Parts: sequence; structure tokens; C-alpha cells
Amino acid sequence: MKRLPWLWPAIIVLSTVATCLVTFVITDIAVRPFIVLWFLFVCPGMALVRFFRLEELVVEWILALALSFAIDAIVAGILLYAGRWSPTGTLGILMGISLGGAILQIGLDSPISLIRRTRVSTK
Amino acid sequence: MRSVLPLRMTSLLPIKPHIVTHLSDITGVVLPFAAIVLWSLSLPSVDVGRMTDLGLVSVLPVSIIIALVILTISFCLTLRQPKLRMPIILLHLFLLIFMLYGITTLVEEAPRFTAVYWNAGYTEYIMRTGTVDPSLDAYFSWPGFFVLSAFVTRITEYHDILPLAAWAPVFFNLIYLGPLYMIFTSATTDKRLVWLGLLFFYLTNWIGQDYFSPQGFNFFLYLVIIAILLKWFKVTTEAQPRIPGPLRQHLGRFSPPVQGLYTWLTAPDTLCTPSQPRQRIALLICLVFVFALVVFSHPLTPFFVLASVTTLVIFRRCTPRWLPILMALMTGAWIIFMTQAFLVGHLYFVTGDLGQVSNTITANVTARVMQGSPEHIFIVVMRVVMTAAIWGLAFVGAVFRLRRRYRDVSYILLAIAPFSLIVANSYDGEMLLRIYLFSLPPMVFFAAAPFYTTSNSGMSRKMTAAVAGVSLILLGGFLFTRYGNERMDYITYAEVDGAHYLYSIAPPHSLLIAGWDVGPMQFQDFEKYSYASLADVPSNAITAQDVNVIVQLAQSQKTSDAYLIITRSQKAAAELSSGLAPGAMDRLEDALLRSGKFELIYSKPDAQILKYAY
Repeated sequence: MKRLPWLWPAIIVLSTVATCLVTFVITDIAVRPFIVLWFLFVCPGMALVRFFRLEELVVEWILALALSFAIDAIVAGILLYAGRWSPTGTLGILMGISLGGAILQIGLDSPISLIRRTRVSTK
Repeated sequence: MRSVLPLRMTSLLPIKPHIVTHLSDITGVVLPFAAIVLWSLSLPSVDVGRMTDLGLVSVLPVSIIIALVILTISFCLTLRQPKLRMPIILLHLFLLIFMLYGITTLVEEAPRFTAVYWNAGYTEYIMRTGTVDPSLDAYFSWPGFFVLSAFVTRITEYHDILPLAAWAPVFFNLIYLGPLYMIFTSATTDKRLVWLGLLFFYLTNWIGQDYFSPQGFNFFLYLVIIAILLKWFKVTTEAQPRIPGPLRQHLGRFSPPVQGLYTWLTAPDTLCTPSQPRQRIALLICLVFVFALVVFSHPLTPFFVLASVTTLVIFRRCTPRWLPILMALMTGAWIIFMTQAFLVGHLYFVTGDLGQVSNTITANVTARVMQGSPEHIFIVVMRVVMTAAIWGLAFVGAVFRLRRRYRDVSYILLAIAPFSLIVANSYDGEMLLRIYLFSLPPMVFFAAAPFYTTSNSGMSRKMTAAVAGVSLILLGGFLFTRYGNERMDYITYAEVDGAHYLYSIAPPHSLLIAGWDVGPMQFQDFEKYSYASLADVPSNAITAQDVNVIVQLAQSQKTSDAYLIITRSQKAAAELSSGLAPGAMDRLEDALLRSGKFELIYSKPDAQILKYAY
């Protein structure tokens, strides 16, 4: 299957924005749990797993799910043990991780970086 | 392309093979949809209130069982197609998971199973206080799952975790599918064997650990860790160290079977996924991160991971060699630095059963078989029989593949490794259940193996009939074994309302006595109350309506107030698990009220609350 380098970064960015909106702006919306759960269970992990370049969609999904659980729980746990339990703070950190990963992916897969990598490999 | 119709038929009929394939595809979609429609239409006729000690199966209408049979047979027919269609097979599996594991959420009222309410209580504590207190409960020394649950509940703005917890069995079983697929495809290229193994997993996962619990969640993480190792970190033919000269000479002294065993044990795996060094480093970091969550969220699962990973490394099935050491250090560090509050008072619980295998087996099997009503004993015996059946079938499959020179050492080791924990602890009578669960993936893979020994075997009518026959037997067994305790596991809204009322009137530091050790308890403010249960009282005291024993229990904690709550599920549990006669709890309640020492303060059909008059 053809890999679309822009697809997942775009999904992650849109999911992060949507989660931010339903959590902080339009809070009284029925689809809020679905958007938030989608973001928490998929996006932080997928933002990192895409760097592995595994080329197998099923495998990427499984690792993204497991890694998302791990990142969510460990970030929340660190704040809890530090005496700074804050669900919104945790969400903010997860949004940062997801956005950072997605932007880095876009940077790595941009036409300019592709040309640079091609030049390096040609040399 | 081969048609599914016999050659004689296809030559008589003017139908082209691709038309037959399209017809098979259509059947592969129509049958599952017919099954889900029939199943959905039949759900309203399930009356859980009429359930007997045989569990859910006693109130299932025939149409629901027919729907499940249609889906199972349709799955077996789909596997018979020359070209397997992944979307159609996935459709079958998704529907099967939904129908088998979601049925109780749809036909019952409140979320089922007592432990779900306890776990909701730990979650509520973290949501309310933003801390954990290891001195309150052992689970607060391994709070990862509850921290995650509290965070998710808060951020989705649910009042509590229970609305999400009700769907945990469906959710967990869905996410098990991915890593199981990875594990099975790392063992064989025969997709029929992979899919049948998955079907067998869902037909034999009766163990019921997939409710809203740390262990249900951690089983997914365990599967992911094993899947990563088997897919990318197997020792390849090139990397497998040769037998050194002196060792080869030493082996020469042994008999041929011993030499053969050694050769088989150290033979490299043939199926490996190529990867770049950078990918392997990233995957290892990912694995260690996932294991960190395992260490942080459950006391037992790290040891199952350690047992499996150490076994694979010792027998040179996977790398890196330092991984078990790192995992042991992580587990040890967490126990030493983070669980002291628990260990101080419970060291005997951890080490008391060490090496006492007979104690573990007694606590896990014998004690369960000997107690309860005749129907309940039948269910327990069914569980033992179905366990023996799947292990026996797995043994046959392993021998089958061994004779055909498949190199399945890694998977055989993974089937055996969890049993090593039987020497460690009885885990409150649940260790064998956990061992069954953690050994289940390789067991079902081998159980499916006798049917698909070559890439196109199992496509004959006879073999398809055999596959369908075994699947239906497993399905029948599942309906008894999985939901055999349902009469005490299901919980009504009236019971939950009763418990809410109790928490609304009981002052902090009161003693709350449960009619039995089940029911919706401890789901809120759990650190504010003391708890006891009539299950701790000798059952003959209940039969004899000995009020003084109950009074002693009410006074035992020296609290200012004591309340006794008796609910429908608690009465069912008393009859089902301890063999108390039907109505024994009602008669005890009457005796308590007649004594004048207890006052009835709440009475609804499914819940009564009595206050002890000091």
C-alpha cells in the first residue's frame, strides 16, 4: 500500500486541535468522549511510532496504541507522584508530544528534506 | 483458481470460478449479518432474573445460540475459501467478540462483576484526592492503571468510570486481536492457521480477566512485548552461535534423543522480519517504555513478562541478552522503592506460598470444585474439562508440527513459561487462572495446528467439518465456562441504588458489612469506611440464624456505626459458592430484625440495609 507521508501528521494535528476545542472551548458537546478517547489512545503513540518506518499499518496501529497508553499513564503518574496531579496539565503535555511528533514528521517528510536526503545518499 | 465446489459440480454447471468466488464472498458477508440481526432481535427476550446456577446459558433463547452457531460455521466456511479475504474474516471476528463479550452489557443493568466496583473506587480516590495512599490498599502500590483511568475519566468529564468500564471486555478483547495476530504470523505463513488460532482464542478466553481491571489491561501490554520480540528480535540462522567444539564432543556422549532435543531447542527460527539497527533500537525503547507501564500498574504481570522473556533469551530464541536483567532491575527497583508500605504488612502474602505447589493447586482447583450448589460444581468441572481439552488439543498440535519439522521452540517455551509461576504464589486462589490466560495464545495456536498442516490443507469438506465441529464444542463450552457465575456476577440498578443510599447516610468511619463478598461496594469514599462481609462468618451461623455472631462482627471494628447491606447478588453468591440453602439470607435478615438489635432503614426488592443499634 502506498504510504502517504502527510496523512498521519495531518490527522494527529487535527485530532489535537479538536481535543483542545472540546476540552477547553466547546465543552458541552456529545462527541467529546469519542474525540478525547481517540486522541489519548492513538495520537501520542502514533506521533512517535511513525518515526520507526515499519511499513506495516497493522503493526503501527498496535504499537501506537500500546505506546499511547504508556505515555498517557506515565506522564499522568509522574505528575501525581510529584504532587501536581492535573488532568488538564497532563493533556497539555500529551498535546505537546503529539504536535511535536507530527510537526517533526512533516519536517522529515517535506520535499526539501527529501531532496536533501537524496543528495546526501547520492554523494 | 480453485473453486469451492467439487470438480464434478463445476464441470456440470456453466458457472465460472470467479462467479463462485463472488458468491462465496457474498455468503461470507450475508451469514454474519444474518447472525447479528438474529442475535440483536433475540436480546430483549433474555430475562436475567430467571437465571439459575448454570449462569447466563440458562436464560439464553435458542435463537441467540443459533446466531452464534451460524457465525462460527460461517467463519469456518470462510477459511475454506481458496483466497482468504481479510475484511470478511475480520468482520466475523469483530462480530464474534461483540456477541460473546458484549452480551452481558446489553442484557444486564449495571456493570457486572464486583471487582469492577472496587477498581472504580480506586479510580474515584485518585480523581478526588489527586494522590495514592499505599497504606490503604495494595493496588495503590501499583497504581498505573488507576492513574490512567482517573485521568481519562476526568478529561472526558464522566462522573465516574463505570459507564466506560461496562464495555471493557469488548474493548480489551478487540485490542488483544492485533498483538495476537502479530504473534501468530511470526510463527507461520499459513493465514488459515493464524485465523483459526484467533477464533480459538476468543472461544476459550473464558477466564474473565478482561473486565475493567489492571490485569485485563496488562495482558494487552504483555502480548505487545512478546509480539515485538517474536517479530523483530528472533535469533536468526546467521546470528545463532555454533555449538563449540568441546560442547559438541560432550553432547556426543549422550543418547540420540538428547542430542536431537538439544539440536531442536537451539535450531534457529526461520520466520524473521528484517529490520534496520535504528528500527531495532527504537523498538527496544518502545518495549522498555511499555514494560515500565507494566511494572507501574500490576504486581503480577511483570513476573509473567519476566518468565517468558527470560525463557526465550536463555534458550537463545531472541535477543538482546540483557533484556531480562533490565526487566528484573526495573521490577525490583519498583518493589523496593515504591511498594514498601504494602510489603511491610504483607510480606507473608508475597513469600508465604513460595514453593508450595500443592497449596496453590488446592487453593486454585480443589477448593473451587468442592464448594457450592450442584449446578455451580458442574460449571467448575466444565472449566477443568475445557482447560484439559484445549491443552490436550494444543499438545496434539505441537506434536503434529514437530513431526512435520516445524521449528516452534519459541512458542512451546511461551506455552510452558507461565507455569513456572505456580511455585511462587497461589495469588489468593487465582494463580492457575492467570497461568491459563498467559499460556493461552501459544496453546490456541497449537490447538489449531492439526487442522492446517500445509498451506491448502483444511479446505476439504471433511476437514472443514472437523474445524466447525471443534469450534462449536469450544463455543458450547465457552457459554458455560465464561458466564457460569453470572447469577452472582450481574448487578441490578436497584442494588447500585441501595449502595448509593448507604454511602449517602453512613457517617465516615462506619463499618459497612456486606451480605457476601460481592456486590456493588467500595466504589466511592472507600478510605472513609471499614468493611466486613458475612462470607467471613461460618456458614452454619447463618443457617442457624445466630444473631450473636453477626453482632460480634458489627462490634469487631469498634466503629461508631455499623450497617449491614444485603443485595440480590450477595444472596446469589452465598447460595452459589458456599452451598447455603435458598432463602437462608432472608431468614437471617428476619432473625436480625426480630432480635431488636438491627433496624431496617432501606428496603427495595434487590437491596435491604439494616443498621446495628448500639
